[in-house]
Amino acid sequence: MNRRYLVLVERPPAVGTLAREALDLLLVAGAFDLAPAVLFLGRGVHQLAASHDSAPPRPLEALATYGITRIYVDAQSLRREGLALDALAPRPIAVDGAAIARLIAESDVVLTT
Amino acid sequence: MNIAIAVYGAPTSSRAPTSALRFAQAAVARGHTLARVFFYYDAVAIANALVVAPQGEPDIAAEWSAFSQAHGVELVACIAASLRRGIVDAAEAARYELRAHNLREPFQLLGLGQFVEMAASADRLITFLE
Repeated sequence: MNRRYLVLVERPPAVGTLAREALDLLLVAGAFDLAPAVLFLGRGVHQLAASHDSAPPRPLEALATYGITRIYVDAQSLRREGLALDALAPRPIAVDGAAIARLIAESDVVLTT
Repeated sequence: MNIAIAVYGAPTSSRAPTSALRFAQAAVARGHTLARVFFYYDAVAIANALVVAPQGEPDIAAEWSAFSQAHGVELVACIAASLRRGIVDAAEAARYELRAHNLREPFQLLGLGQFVEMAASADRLITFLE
């Protein structure tokens, strides 16, 4: 049976090396054909903000290449951090607390970054 | 149960390596299988052989080494995270023409792919963040 994977990204881009290492873990999970879902939450939502200061190309632009197409963002974190959904790229699906609970419950392995 | 452990928090600024070790000891004592522990982010500092614990303070790196040798548990530090933080084994020192190497025994340097494989094959992945 195929196991379902979920990667949680909470580290904001401003933490430099730690942020890069979080995305490395996400991309490696994709490279290993695990087809993980990814949920950006907390200050990690800034990873999706297209305007943040990151040397091009942004690692997140490669998500689809790595087979990562289920991209979610915590709606409450978005509001708290003052970000709009249409300012994010790649465009995620906004989810509330109940949906996050379902995502986690339905996943066999949760990789925290 | 086949358990995998990931440790993220630095030994100097978090409880993660200590909490993970106590958990690992308890898991093995209860008969669970623990094949590998993966250190990532700042937790790789635990694999620096040049760190000296002050007299009278716990030496958590030495405790991890002893635990590994007693129970056959592999200790792995992420190679990319280690290189960024100045932790190299003999092979990497030769590759980058460095004058010294400092990886603590019995730690190994492996890639994130091994971490993902470990997580994929375990019944439970337990992560110690801080």
